[in-house]
Amino acid sequence: MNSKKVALLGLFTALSVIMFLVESLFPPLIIPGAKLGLGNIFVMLCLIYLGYSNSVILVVVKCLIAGIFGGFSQIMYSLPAGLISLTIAFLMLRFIKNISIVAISASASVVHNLVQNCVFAIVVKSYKVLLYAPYLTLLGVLCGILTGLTVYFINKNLSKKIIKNLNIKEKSV
Amino acid sequence: MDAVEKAKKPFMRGDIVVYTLLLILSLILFIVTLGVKTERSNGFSVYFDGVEILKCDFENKSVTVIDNSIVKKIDDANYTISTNLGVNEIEIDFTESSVSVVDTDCGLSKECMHMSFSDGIIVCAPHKIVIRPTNLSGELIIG
Repeated sequence: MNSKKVALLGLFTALSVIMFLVESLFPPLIIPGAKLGLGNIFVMLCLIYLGYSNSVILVVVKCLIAGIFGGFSQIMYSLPAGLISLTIAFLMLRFIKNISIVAISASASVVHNLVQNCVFAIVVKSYKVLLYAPYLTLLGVLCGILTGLTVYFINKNLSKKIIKNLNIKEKSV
Repeated sequence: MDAVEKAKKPFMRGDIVVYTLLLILSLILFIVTLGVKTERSNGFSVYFDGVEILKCDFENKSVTVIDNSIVKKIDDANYTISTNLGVNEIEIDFTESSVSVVDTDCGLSKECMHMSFSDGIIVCAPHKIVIRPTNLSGELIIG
């Protein structure tokens, strides 16, 4: 871990927190609690360039900082969902061949939504909120594709410079 | 194939399998949840941190304030719930047998104002306020 990587991790963390805060100012998408998840663009980029362990740090720090702004009760919704979907994305990235970052992002987004829905059902002790699950799945696919495409375009335009400057080996994940 | 390589293309052959699986998953969830019926409730209770602070019965049009230090009455239909965590204002619609959060000072996306009572529950997570329907036969609530 050289200093350039630390700086990049800090930059990704800051950007994802900013995205989270900007996004929380908008009303939810169709279903209460549903969001585009733009902050996850930088989690995905971090996973690609800096690897799984650094991305775990990013997610934890992001959730803690978001908790300061959004109330600490938000952490129990964001942290488990964030870590589980990150792990799913990492496993797909590492072990499944022939899938693009867009499909990985869509799957991670669906997992994120479903985990958050389950946590919500447990916290409010009402299984009725699980009726949102099918809509959250569909919405997760759409938002995930959008996030994945953004990651693809950012990677396409930045990758050469970043990889050269950081000496990131192509097997960093 | 490594991560950076996978990010270089927006679409690969395996993607079709992933998207199909996700769509099947959402179809299964749709079918499962179709079987669950939601019933109309005849009242609701408001909880702060798990403790009941207000009770309402739509049929008798009666509202019982349990904790006077938290709940303040504005008029017959409007009540303010102010705790050390923040303020929420609720409006009861007796003709529609419904209740909604009309104002909150949480400063973020104000999720609770977009939640509908007919969906089963209204939750304001940052203020620990829960509005839950009462007296439902066959209700899915476990708490």
